[in-house]
Amino acid sequence: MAHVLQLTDGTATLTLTGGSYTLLDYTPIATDPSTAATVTISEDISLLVSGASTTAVQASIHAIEQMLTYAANRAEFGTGPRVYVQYQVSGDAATYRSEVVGGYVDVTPDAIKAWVGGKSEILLHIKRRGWWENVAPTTLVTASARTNNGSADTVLLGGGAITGALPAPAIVEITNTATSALYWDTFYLGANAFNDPAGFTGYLNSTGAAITWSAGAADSVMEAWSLNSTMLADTAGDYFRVVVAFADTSSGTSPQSDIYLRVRVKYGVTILARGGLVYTGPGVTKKVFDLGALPLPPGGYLTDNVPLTLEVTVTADAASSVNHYIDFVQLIPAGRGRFRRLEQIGYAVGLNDTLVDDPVTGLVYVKDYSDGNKRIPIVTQRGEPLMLWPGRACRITALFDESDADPYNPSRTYGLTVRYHPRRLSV
Amino acid sequence: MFTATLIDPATVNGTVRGNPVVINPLLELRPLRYNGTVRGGYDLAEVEVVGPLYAMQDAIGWLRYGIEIVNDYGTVTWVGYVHEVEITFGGMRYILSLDNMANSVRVLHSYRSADGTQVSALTDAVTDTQSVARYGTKELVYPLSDAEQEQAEALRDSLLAAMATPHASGEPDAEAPTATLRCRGWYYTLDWKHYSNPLGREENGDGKDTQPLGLGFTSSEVGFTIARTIHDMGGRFVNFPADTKIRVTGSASNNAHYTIEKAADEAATSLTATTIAFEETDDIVDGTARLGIITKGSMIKVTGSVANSGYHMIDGATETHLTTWVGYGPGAGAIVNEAAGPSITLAQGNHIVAKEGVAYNEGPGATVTVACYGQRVAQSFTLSSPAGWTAVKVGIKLGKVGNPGDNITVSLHADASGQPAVLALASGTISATSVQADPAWLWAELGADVPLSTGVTYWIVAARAGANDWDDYYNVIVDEGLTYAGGTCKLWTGSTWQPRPVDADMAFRVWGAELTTSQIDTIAGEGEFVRGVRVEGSSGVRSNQYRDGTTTALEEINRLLDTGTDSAETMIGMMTNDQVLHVRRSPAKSAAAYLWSRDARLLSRYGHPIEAGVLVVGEYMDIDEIPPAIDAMAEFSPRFITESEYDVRAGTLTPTLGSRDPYNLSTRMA
Repeated sequence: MAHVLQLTDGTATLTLTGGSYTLLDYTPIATDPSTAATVTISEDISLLVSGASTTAVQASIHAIEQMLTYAANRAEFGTGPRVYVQYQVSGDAATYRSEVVGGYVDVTPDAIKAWVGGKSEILLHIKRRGWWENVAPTTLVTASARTNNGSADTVLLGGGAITGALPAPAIVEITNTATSALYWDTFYLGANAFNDPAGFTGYLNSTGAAITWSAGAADSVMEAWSLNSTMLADTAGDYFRVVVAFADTSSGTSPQSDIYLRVRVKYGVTILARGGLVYTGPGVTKKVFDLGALPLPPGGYLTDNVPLTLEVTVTADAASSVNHYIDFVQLIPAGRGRFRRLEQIGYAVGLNDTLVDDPVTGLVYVKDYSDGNKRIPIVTQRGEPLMLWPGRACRITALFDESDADPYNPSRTYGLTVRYHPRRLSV
Repeated sequence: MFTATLIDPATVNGTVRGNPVVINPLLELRPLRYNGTVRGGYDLAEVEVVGPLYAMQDAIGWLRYGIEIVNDYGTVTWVGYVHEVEITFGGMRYILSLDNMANSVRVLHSYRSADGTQVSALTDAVTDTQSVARYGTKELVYPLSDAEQEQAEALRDSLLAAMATPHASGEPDAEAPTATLRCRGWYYTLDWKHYSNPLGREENGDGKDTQPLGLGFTSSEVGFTIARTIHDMGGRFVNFPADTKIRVTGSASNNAHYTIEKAADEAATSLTATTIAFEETDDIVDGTARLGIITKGSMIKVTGSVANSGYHMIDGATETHLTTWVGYGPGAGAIVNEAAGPSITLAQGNHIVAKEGVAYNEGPGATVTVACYGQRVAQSFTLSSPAGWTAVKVGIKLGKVGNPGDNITVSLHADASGQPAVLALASGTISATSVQADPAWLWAELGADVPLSTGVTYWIVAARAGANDWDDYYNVIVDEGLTYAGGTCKLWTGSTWQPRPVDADMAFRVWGAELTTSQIDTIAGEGEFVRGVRVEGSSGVRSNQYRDGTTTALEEINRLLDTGTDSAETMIGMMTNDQVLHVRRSPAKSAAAYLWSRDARLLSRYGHPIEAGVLVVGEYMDIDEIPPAIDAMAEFSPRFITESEYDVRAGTLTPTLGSRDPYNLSTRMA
C-alpha cells in the first residue's frame, strides 16, 4: 500500500496522493518534544494537480485553498471545523493527523502553461500543530466499575498500553451507575504517572474519632496520618492536592458545618508546610473539601526520608465536642496534566448519563442517556486536562461530591472510561 | 496554563460560594497578572478575553461576575469579581466600570437650625432594586453642605438616577480588537457598604448651664433672720447661685433646705476707723463718709467698741450713717452712745435670700454647715441602642472655680428606686489637674467593664474626692433644655438624692469598647459578599465600637487593622478563596517561611520552588545573601512581604517588602 496524505475538515476529504492530486514530495518535519505542544510547524507539500480541463485543475486547487481558509478561520476565530492533515505511511495500518492552522498554495512558474494541458504543479505551504496523533482514539479502559469511596475510585492503566512519543490528553468519561437522580457537583480527577502509580493510591483511611475544640482556639488536630518512608519515596517531593471527604452522619448533625479546615505537614512539632484556611460554609452543604496543594515531603526529597505527619486541623468560632467523621483523605497529584476539577452545575443526572471530559474537542459535557446521548453543556472545567505519558503506567483517580442534602455518598458507583489519541513527533 | 473561571453573580453572596458559569467555548480567559496585599488579600487582577470578536462582546455582561484564577496545579490562586471591562472594537475603546455606580444613595447634609447651631442629618436611602438584584448593593453617602432636607432628597434622587447603572466611557483607539477584564478582590466590596453600629455610645450632647459640684462650707459665722436671709460673715455665699437649693445643718433653730431666691451680690468687706461713733438707739455714724461699703439688709460684726461690739442687722445705709434693726434679738442689741476715737471695725459678710421662710432669727455662733445641692451630681440613662453593650468609660463636661485640688470620681450605678444605688458598678477618676476653668469634656476610665442592658436604668454619679468648699469647687455642665429623653438629673444633698430645682440633664458620654478584632468580625460580617470572618488571635487592643454610618466597612476595617496589636505587631486581614476574611497577627519575625534566592526567586524556607502563581503575602522572607555591611546597619533580613504580584506570562512572582515608614502602619514591620 502506498502512502496516503489527505486534508480533511471532517466532512470533505481531499486525498493528495490520488485522483486529481499526485504527491511529488513531502517530508514531515519533527520538532523538539519540549515545544511540540505549543509551536506550529511550517511545511511544504509538492503536488501535481491534474484534470480534464483548466477549470478542473483550478477547481482542485481551489478545493485545497478552501480547506486552508477553514483552517485559518478556525485558528483565528475558533469557528468552523478543524482541518487536519492526515498521513498514513505505507505499511502502517494507523492514520495520523495534525491540525492545520493556516497555509496557502503557490503555483510553480510553468503552471499557467501546464493548465492548458490539464496539469499544474503546485507547492502547498501548511502550518500545522507540532504533533501527530492517531485519528482513531485508543480506549484504555471501558466502563471500569468504580466506587466513590477513596479506595476504589482509582484505576491503574498499564504503561505498555500507552503509546506514542508525547504525552496525550486523556478523554475521561464517567457514567452514573448508581441511581436515577444523582446531583453530581465537583469532580476531582487525578493522573499519577510519576509517583509509583502501581503502589501509591494516595488513599489515607480514617475511622473517625472524637474531637473537642474550643471557640476561637488555634488549630485543633482532627486527625493525623503518618507518611512513612515508602510513601514519601513515592511522592518524591512533588505537590499533591489534599482532598478530605467527610462521611455521612447518622445523627444529622455534622461537625463540618461552619468551621475552618487546614492541612499541614509536620516533623515532630515543627510545621514544615501548611495550606490556607478552607471554610466549610454555614450549613452542611458540602462534605468533600480540597485543602490545597502541598509538596510531599516539603523539606526536599531523599529516598530515605524519615516519616512525617500529615494533619487535618480545625478551628472555629464555636466550641464543639463531636466525632469528626472524616472518611478518608485522598492525595491527588498536582501539576499540569495531573489534576483537573470539573463542576457539574446542572441538577440531577439520570442513570447511565455520562460526564465527558474531551480535551481534544475542548468540550466538557454530560451525555443524556435517556435522550439519545445528546450533549448538555452544564460542566465547567478548571485546570488542564489529564495527560497520559507514553510508556508509563498511570493511575487515574475520579472522586466527586454531590450538591443535594447528602453531599457525599461513598457507596456511589460509576463507570470509568479512559481514551486518548496517541501523540507522536513523527509519523 | 493558567485559566480563569467566571462565577454566576446571582449565586455569590454571603451564604453560598456561587456556581461557575459555562461561557462560549470559543472564548478563552487568560490571566495576565494579579496581586495580593496584607490589606484584603486578593487585590487586583487583569484577565484577557481571547476569541472571536463577536463572542468577545459577551464580556460586557460579566461585570460583577465572580472570577477565579487557577494555576497548573489546580490551585485557585486569585479570587474576586469583575470590576471593569475594557473592549477595543471598531476604532473605539469602551470601558464599563462599577467605579461610579451606586444603587443605594443617601445624602449627608448640614444646615443651620433655628437656634443658629450647625446640624447634620442623613436622608433615608433610595435604592434601585433592579441594579441591586444584578450587582448587589453598592451604597453611596454623598456629602452636601448648607442644604436642608428637601434639597438633599432632591440631590439624592438625582444621584440614584444617574448612578444606578455601571458607568460607561469611551475614547477613540485604533488598536486591534481586544477585551480585558479588570478584576478586584472581594475585599473591595466592603467599600460598598457604609457601616453603622448604634452600640457603644450613650450620650447627651452639649449643654450651657452649670451645676456646682461640691460647693459648700462650715462656719460658726452664719446668721439667720426671719426676713428669709441667711448670712455668713466670711462672705462664703459669694458663689451660691440663685435657684439652687442648699441644705443647712448645725444651726440651733434653722436646719432646713432652702431655695436661693436671691444670690449674694457682694463679697465680704470691712472698715476700720477711729472716726466711727455710735448713737442710741440704732445709729452708727462716720464723719468721713466711708460707710458706703455696708449695705442695707446685711449683717455686720462690730469689734473694738466698748459697748456695741457684736452682730447687728443693718436696716438702712448711707455713706455716713447706718441704721440697725434694734429688734433683731440674737444680735448685740440696741446701740448705746459711744463717741468716735477708739479703733472700730465694721465687718460685713454676705447673705442670700431664701424663697422659703426662715423660722427664727439666729445669730452666728453655732457651727453651721451650708451645702449646695450637688455634693454629688447624678444623671440616669437608659440605652437608646437596640442591644446592650459594655461600658468602659464615662465622660462629663467639667470646669473649675478657684483651684480645687481633689480629684473627681465618676461612677456608674444601678438604679435603686429612682436614684443611684449605693454601691457603684464601677468607677473612674478625673484628675484635678486636668480640669480647667473653662469647661471641657473629660474622660473617666472605669476600673471595671460594666455590661449595660437595654431597658434598664443606670446612673452616672460625679463626686468630689475631697470636702465641699465655697471658693474651690467644680462645675458640671448640664442642659436645662432637657433634650435628653433617656433619664433625669439628681443632686445629692448630703443625705438624700433630690431633683434639681431647675430640671436639667447632665452632659455625659458613656462609651463602650470592643477588641478591634471583634469589631472587624462584626463589620466584615455585614459585607454582602463576605461568607465568613475568621479571627485567629485577638489584637488585645480595644476601641469604641460605635459608628455613625458615614464611613464604609472597608475604611473602618483598615483603620482597625492599622491599629495593630498590643504587642506592636501588624494585623493582617486577607480574603480566602472561600470569601472568608481571615484576620491574624503577623507571624514571628524569627519564623521566616520563605527565602529570597540569589537569582531573584522566592523559594520556600527549604530552598524549594513554591507553587507557581500562589501569592505570598503577610509572611517573612530571609534574604539569601546580603552585603554584611548593609545587614549590620539595617537588619535587612528577614523582610516582611506586604504585597506580591504574579506575572502570568513571565511566570514571575514579585514581592513588595515592608518599608520603614513609621506612618505606613501596614508595612511598619520592615
